[in-house]
Amino acid sequence: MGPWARAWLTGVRHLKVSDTVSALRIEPSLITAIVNDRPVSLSAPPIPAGVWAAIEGHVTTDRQSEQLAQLLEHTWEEPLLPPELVRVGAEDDVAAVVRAVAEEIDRDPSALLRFRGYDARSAADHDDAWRGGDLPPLPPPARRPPDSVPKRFGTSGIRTADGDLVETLIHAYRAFGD
Amino acid sequence: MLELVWHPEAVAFAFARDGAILGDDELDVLDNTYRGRFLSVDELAAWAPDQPLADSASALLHVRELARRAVSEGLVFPQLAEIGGEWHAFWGATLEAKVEQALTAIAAAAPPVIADYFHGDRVATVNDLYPRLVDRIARDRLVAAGVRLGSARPFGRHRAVDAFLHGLTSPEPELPHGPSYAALERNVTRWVDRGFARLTRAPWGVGLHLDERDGRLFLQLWLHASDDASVALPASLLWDAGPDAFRFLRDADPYDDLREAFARIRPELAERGFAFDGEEPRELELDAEDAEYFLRRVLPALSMPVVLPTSWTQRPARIRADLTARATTGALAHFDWRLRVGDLGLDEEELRRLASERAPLVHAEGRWQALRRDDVERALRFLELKTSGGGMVDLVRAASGIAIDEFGLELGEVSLDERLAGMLDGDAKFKPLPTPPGMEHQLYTFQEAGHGWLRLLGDLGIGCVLADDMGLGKTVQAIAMLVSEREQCGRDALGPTLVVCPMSVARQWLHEVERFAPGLRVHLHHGGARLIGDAFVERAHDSDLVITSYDIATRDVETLQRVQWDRLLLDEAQDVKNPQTRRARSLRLLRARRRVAMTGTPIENHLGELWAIMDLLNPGLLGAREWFHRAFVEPIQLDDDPHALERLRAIVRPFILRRQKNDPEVELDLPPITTIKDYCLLTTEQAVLYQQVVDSWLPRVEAHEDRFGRRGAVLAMLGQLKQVCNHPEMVLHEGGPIEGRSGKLERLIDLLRQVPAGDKALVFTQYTSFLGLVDHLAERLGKPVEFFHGGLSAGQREELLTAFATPDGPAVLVVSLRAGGRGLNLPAANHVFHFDRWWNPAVEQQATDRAHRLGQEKPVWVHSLITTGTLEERIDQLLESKRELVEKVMAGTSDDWLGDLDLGAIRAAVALAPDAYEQEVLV
Repeated sequence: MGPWARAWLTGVRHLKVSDTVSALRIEPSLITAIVNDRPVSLSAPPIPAGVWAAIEGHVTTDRQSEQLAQLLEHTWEEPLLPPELVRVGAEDDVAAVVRAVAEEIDRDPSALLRFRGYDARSAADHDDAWRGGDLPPLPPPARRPPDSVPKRFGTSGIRTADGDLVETLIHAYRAFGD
Repeated sequence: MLELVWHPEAVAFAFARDGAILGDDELDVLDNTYRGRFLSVDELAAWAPDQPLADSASALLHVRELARRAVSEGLVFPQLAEIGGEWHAFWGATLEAKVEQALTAIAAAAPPVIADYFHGDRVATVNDLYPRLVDRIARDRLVAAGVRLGSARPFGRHRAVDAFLHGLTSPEPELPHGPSYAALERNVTRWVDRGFARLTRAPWGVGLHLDERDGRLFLQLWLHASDDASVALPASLLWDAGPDAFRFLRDADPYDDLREAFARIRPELAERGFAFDGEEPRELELDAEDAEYFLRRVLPALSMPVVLPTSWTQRPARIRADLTARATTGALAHFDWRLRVGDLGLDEEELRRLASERAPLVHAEGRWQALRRDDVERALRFLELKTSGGGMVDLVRAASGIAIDEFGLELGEVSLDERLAGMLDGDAKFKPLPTPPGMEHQLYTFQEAGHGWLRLLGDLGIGCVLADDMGLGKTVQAIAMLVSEREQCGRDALGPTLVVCPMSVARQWLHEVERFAPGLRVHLHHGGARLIGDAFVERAHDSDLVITSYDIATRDVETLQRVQWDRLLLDEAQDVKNPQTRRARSLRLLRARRRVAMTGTPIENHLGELWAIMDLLNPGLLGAREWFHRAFVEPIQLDDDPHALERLRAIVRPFILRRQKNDPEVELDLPPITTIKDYCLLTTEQAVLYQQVVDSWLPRVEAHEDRFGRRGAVLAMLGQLKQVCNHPEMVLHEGGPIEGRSGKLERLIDLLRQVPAGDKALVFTQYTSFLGLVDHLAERLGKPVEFFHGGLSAGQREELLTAFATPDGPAVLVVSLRAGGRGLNLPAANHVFHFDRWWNPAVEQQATDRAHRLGQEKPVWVHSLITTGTLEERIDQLLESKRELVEKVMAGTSDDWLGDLDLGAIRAAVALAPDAYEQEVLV
């Protein structure tokens, strides 16, 4: 595996090669796939378009250039491999997709670039731009009082006419829950 | 089917692919142009479409649903940001893992078209939309709930925070210019970041909460963070929903902590009869007896936190003070005070017990009510310091609630006996007093009322303000008071009254006393040759009335202090509006048994003046200045509070008598014409000029042997002197400044300012050179002033007169006597001022008549301005005393008769009195 693909795999706990990953799609900021009929998504914010425009001359789409990776990381402080991924799906399914993406990067390095926002295309490039999938259920409500957030923040040290800022804000937070 | 795409300019575009027209807007989507409707974030947040939704609309509205849920759970944090040079307050969306995952999953399921304007990046699209919706929904929810924090017009130390809080709870996020927000932004960000990053490790302790629901009282078990007792959650939440909420707030195990803490307190509570469930302790219901026992006996002895219901503490019960006052023979009134909460009376013993409790509670009006410890202490202090009786000032302070207010308590019910109630009634039930025998002027009916009022308050030793409009005879009423009280008590039973007034008015007082009450012994303390030391004190004690000016009173305060005055009378008292001046401070040093102030301005509309004057008259009536400012000036002037204004009026009403010219009781009483002499002084410059004219002309007059020659010289000299008295510019023609160089002009301006709005005034002068003063007059008055003179064409005259007759036209018309013309009809004016005198009564009468004509509906006031100590005063006196003779001598309309006076009379007439001009006094 090339350097990008290896780096991509770093941090994945275990790899079950036998899982079937289908409908793998790598788009700007978003990777989707189906694993055993279950949807998986991975996302990360892209590298800003301005950075890509600035380094246009150094971008290699046909090989996993270490210089490009270092240029992005050290000069632009925008690592090629995202430091964090938002993962949606069962842990094993996610691991399988991560593995599949590494293989895809090896096969076509531009896939990683695309995920990181390079050469973004319009939605018109999609086969069916108008069709979506099943919307996920919303997460269950957190069973805690709405003023938990300011209570977690604690005293701010910022004075208002009525006391500390947090005491004043708690009135607003309580109203959110009404 | 409804499609929806999100645009980077923070708008959504709703359209249909099947040709249905949803609006007049257009947008290109996937290389086709569609007609539809743009929706702002505000609109999108509340949008409820009735068409079926395509996948794109479903996905974006799913994001909205996520946002609504997040706001309900309080997954937001306050933020400040500078955008394009403007600061904004908004609610940021907290991106917990579950929210991020939800957004990613929605993006994955959404059709790619939603990202057409985001380079195909669906995640970026939903991440752009979500926080905007969160802010909008949070804001809308707060506005709908009526939660308003901060201030739209922030000021003071907390301006930036106030503005920020207001921005968070109002429909628009922009913050006002002014406060510096950068430091606040840094502090808020630091606070939020730290709050998210760090989860404090601190064990949970237990506390007890009282909860009042549906009329029942419950004792609940709660967990409190040991490092911050305000971070608390009920134990019932742990049993019903698990530990998540607790773990969000503190890095500790709520189960273990609760078990341990409960084990410690359980025996103590059980012993006292409060037994919680052993397995999942939550709450106990308390009946009335339990509640009493718990609150009175158990609560004071507990060491854990005990929280009372918010309904008790957010609106703590107020301690009210009821007043019963009755008139006595000794002191004016006796006060009986009782304190209570609702229907429950509180005596001193009860208050002391409450003051010692951790959470003072009383059972009143059928329920438990919490008191603020501060209120209890204030009530105790009130009981120690309250007055049990006093004079009128104390009565007004007590009955109006001022005295209570200063203690931080509330006034309850006030019961006064009939006599006291009558005294405080605004329509003062005083008896009018008729004109005293010693007065040579018949009082009008309304003046008899004023006379009675002054006597009543004076006899009670209460300071008062006579605030009648100018021209209604305030001086006359005061003189009547002086005369009648001496007739009643005996002249030697009363000490002297000191009248303090502006310098220009001092002589006027003297003239009026001499005219209306020649029996009063009056002394004018004025001029370089005035009495000092023992001589003055002796003279004062031999007088009924001593008149002096504010400036002299300030200078001679040490001498004046040596006299025990019966009364201090302040004329034109609005001149003392600033209590900090040396003038005001000097007046306070004078010893007087009672005080009166007179002013023509409605002082209750000028709060600063009101306090200053009231404090001089009745010290303490309106409390300390700072308190008065907080209690009345700020609410009335900044907040336009009508209750505060009404309350203030009610407090001062017994002390102020004000009648206006158009009051029915006054108007019907007044004669058609009232003539008034207004005296004024020369300025130093005028005095010097005056003397120069006399010195240069008298020898010339004396040199003439023949009558005709002398007459010409006399008239020329008199003419020059008259113009000097008017204004130096009329003689010097130097084009110099106008203001402050003529005592007469300044007095005219003072008098014109007192003409009520809506009335019009005529100013008559002989001299067309007055034209040079007209612009200045207009500027000083802030009103249009026109000049009617011979230089105008017939058309211009016509136009001027028509304009003057309309209500919107000029308020003041200056008329040149020479060019005024006969037959001028000016009934629009009811105030006439003779700026300079044409010493022929018939001519003056004609001028006056121009105002008082058929068509004149209002009473007319005619003022003659006379400069004291000069020929104007002398000749006026001459006219008065020799009226008959003069009428015989003066045939026709000329004032040439002056030229026929003998030399001695001329010299006497033009001599400048030594005190005829103002001396500068630094105050």
